[in-house]
Amino acid sequence: MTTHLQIDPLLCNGCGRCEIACGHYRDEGYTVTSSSILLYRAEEKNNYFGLLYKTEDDLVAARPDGVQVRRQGEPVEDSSPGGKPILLRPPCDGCDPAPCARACMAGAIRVAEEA
Amino acid sequence: MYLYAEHILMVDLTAGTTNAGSFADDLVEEVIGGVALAERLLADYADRDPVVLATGPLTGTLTPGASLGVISRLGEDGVPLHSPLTLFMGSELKYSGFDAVVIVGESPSPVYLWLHDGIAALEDASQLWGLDTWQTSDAIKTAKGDEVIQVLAVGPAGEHGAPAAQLVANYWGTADAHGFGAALGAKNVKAVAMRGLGILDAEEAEDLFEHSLAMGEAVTSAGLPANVIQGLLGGAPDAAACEEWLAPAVHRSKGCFSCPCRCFTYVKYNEPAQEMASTDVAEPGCLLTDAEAVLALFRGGFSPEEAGRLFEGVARRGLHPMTAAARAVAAGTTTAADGLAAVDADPAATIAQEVTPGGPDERTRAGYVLGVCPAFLAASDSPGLEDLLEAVRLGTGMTLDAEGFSDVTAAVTGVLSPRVV
Repeated sequence: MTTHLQIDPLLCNGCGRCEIACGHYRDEGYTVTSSSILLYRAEEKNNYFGLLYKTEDDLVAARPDGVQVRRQGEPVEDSSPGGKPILLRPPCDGCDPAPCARACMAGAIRVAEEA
Repeated sequence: MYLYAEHILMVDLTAGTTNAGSFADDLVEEVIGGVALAERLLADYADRDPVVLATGPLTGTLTPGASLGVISRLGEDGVPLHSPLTLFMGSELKYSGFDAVVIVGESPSPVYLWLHDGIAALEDASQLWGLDTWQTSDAIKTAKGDEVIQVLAVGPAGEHGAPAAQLVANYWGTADAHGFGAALGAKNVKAVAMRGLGILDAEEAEDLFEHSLAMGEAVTSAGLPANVIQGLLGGAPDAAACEEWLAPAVHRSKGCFSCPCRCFTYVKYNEPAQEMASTDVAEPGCLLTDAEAVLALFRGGFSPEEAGRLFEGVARRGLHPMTAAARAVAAGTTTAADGLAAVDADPAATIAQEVTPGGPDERTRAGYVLGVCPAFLAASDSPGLEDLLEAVRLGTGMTLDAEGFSDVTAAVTGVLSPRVV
C-alpha cells in the first residue's frame, strides 16, 4: 500500500500551514524552503491560490479550477521564479501520519491509500 | 534564543545605513516580543522619530493564528500607537531574518527597505514615488523576480501626508488605523519589501510540533464562525442582510498565515465572480479588508461591485477604508467613481479612533506580545493563554509562567485594537 494526498483546493483558505508542517518533517524547524507541498501564492492579485505538491514522478497542481497531474519534466509555465522551485524540493515520501494533512485546519488535504 | 530570528535591524535613513544587531537573550526574557518589544525600541530611539516593525516568539510557527506582526510609532503625546500586520506580513518579516526593525531619521531621497535572508538594503525608490500601491508592489516583485515577496506599500496619500494614509499589504488594505502610510511617507520610505526563506528552530522541536497541532485540532473541533462579515460585525442587526447583498460578487474568502479563519473576502467586478480559473483579466477584483467599511457601503446604497471598486481605489491610494467609505457615503455617492472623488476632495480627513475603555483585554494583549492574531483569539476560546505559554516554553526553553507574562503585558501602554479586519 502507498499513500497519496487528495486535495480539495476550494476548501483551502490559503494559510500555508501544510507547507510549514511538511518543512518541519524535513528539517525539524519552521521554514518554507524544504516542503514537498507548497501554497501557490504567486497570483495574489486575482485571488488564485491553491496547493502544489511533488511526488516521485508527478507534479500535482490543486488549484481553484481543478486538479492537474503532470509528469515531471513537462514544462511548468506557471511556477514562480522566486523562492525555491518545487522541482528542486524533495518528493513526498508518503509519510504516515502526514503532517500536512494533520496541520490543515480547513479539511482540504486528505490522505488516501492505494494498492 | 530558539524560535526567534535573533536579530534586530537598525535602519538609519538619514545616514543611509542598515545594521543588524543581536536580540540578546536577557532582553528577550524581559520583553518577550511583539508590542512589548516594539515599545522598548520606541523608547530607546524616542528622539529620532522611530517606526518599529516587530514580531513575537510564536509569529511564523504552527500555533493557530500565528500570523501577527506589528508596526508601531509614538503619537504626538508620546503614547505608542500599534497597528497589526496580518496576512503573510508578520511571518514573512520573521522568516526574512529579523524579529524587529527600527527605522529612524529621514531619507534624503525616496527609498524602499528590502529584507531577505538576514540581509537588509535601502533601495532607490525614485522611480516608484508617485505610483499607487498596486503599481508599487508589482514593480518591486518584478524587479526582484519573485511574485511572493511581501510588500508593505505607501500610496500617494502617504506621500502627501494624508492623516488617513494607511500601509497597504501587497494590494490590500490593512487594519492600520494610525496613519503609518503618512509616517513612512514623511521619511521618504515608499515600501518595506520582505522575502523570508529562513528557518526558525525550536528547543523541543517534536513536542512543540505536537502541541501546535493539538492546539489546531482543538480549534477546529470546537468550531469557528463560518464566515467573515457576519462574524466580524459583532451582531449588527443588518449583518446577515449585508452578507446576502455581497454574496453575488464573492469569489473566495481567505485567511492569514497559519490561521483557520477566513476574515478576508475577495469580490470580483471585472469578470464573473464565480470564475475560478486564472484568466487574462489581470485585475478582476479586490480583497475586502474592513468589514465595518463593507457594512457602511451596503447601508449607503452601493452595489457590491461598486463597493469592491471603491475598495480598490482606496487601497491604490493607500487610505484607511472605513474613513474613505464614511466620506463616500456622507457625500451621498453610490458609485466608486463618485465616492473616490469625494474622498479625494477631503485629503485632510482623519481616522476615527476606536478607543476601548480600559484598554483591550488580557487575551488581546497576550496575542499582540506573542504574535498571535487578536481577532482569531477573540473568535475562538481555544487555545487558552496557558497553551500559548506552553508553546513559548517548548519552543524557546524559557521559563515563562502566567504571572511573569502578565507583568510583561501589563507594562504595555500603547494603543491596541482588537480588530484586525
